[in-house]
Amino acid sequence: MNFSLLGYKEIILENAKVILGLGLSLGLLLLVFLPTISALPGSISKRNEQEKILGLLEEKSKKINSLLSLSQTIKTDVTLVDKALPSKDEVPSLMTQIQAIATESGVTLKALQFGGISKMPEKIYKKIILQAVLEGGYANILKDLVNLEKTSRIINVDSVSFDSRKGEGVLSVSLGLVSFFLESGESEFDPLAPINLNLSDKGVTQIIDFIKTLKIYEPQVSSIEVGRGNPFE
Amino acid sequence: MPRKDINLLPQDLKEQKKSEKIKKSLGNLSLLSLVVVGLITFASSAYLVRVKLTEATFKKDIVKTEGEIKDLLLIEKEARRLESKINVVADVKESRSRYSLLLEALAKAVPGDVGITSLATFGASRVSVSGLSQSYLSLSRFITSALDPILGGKVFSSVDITAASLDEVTGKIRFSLVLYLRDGGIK
Repeated sequence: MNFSLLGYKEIILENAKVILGLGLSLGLLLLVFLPTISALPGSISKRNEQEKILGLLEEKSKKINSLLSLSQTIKTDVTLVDKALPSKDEVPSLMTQIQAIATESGVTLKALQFGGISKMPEKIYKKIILQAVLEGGYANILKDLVNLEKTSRIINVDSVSFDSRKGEGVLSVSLGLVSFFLESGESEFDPLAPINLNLSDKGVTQIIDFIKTLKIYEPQVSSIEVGRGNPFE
Repeated sequence: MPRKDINLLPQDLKEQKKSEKIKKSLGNLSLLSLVVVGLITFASSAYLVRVKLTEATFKKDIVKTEGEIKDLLLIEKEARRLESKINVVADVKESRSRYSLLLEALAKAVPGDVGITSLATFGASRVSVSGLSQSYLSLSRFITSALDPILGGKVFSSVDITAASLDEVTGKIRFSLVLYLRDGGIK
């Protein structure tokens, strides 16, 4: 037993250089190189991700800084566009507007029915559906249609149906109307999404100019006090 | 005749020399492997440290840029709101049909001896029209003028007569037809 132990010791001492060299190589491989190599892809992808985020943020910062000098124009345009496309449904105001247009056009609004609000498929905005029944002469009905097309709160005529059987030149018209609104949630936008607004873009100026041509119908807010002693009076 | 060499070294000394030579080669090989492994380990570790340092710099820059953007949050919100609303208005404007153009085209196309009694639209592609005409010729004139580029042709692309019959009481032609609208005809 003692002989064999002595034998191993001798062999180890004789080959110390080789064993030390190989052992250190193996140790370096297992303890340093392999963990480093396995951590490298994850670190590279993290770095690339951070680089991408930084790039997007820098681009966004640059864009916002370029818009800074136009902040007053943006505010004015937002007010203007808000009239055409409000952030809330504002149905009573919309119905009042349709009523005002009918009166101005010289037609009688026989009925105005609210048909609900629905989300447009694959769109970010919602639509308000209304049905209006009007009576009047042809010229007045035509004027009403033109006025609806030019009102500041955008109203699209979805369907038209005429009936002239009332006689004496009076037409009965049923109009399917659609208006829109875009809810603007405070924290809805993706902070990394780029801002593509370019106020000098032809498409943008065309839309702003189009909205500027629309006629504003401001609903009159009632000043009558709220609350009654007997609501059935 | 060449003399044959006589090997004077003893066999065990010869083997010892051979074994020492192998040991020396192995020693050199192990040293070389240590140097190679050491070098690649150093290189990979240095690269990892560099990647991590760059990532840390990016993180720092992100925080700084986010801070700068935060100060301009109001203008960002306004810009985004304007951008999305302009896009929606453009979309709505693109999809809207102007039925006033349809009525104007119809009014231009209807002859004096033809009267429309009812009209109904089916989307922005067709209109169903019913009415009374003094004669079949007047009805034919109505159809021709509806498709005439100067009169109704800018709006209407084709016409289908669904019914036309003589009303025995009034002596007029009671008709109903479908007018097909041109693509973008009432935009």
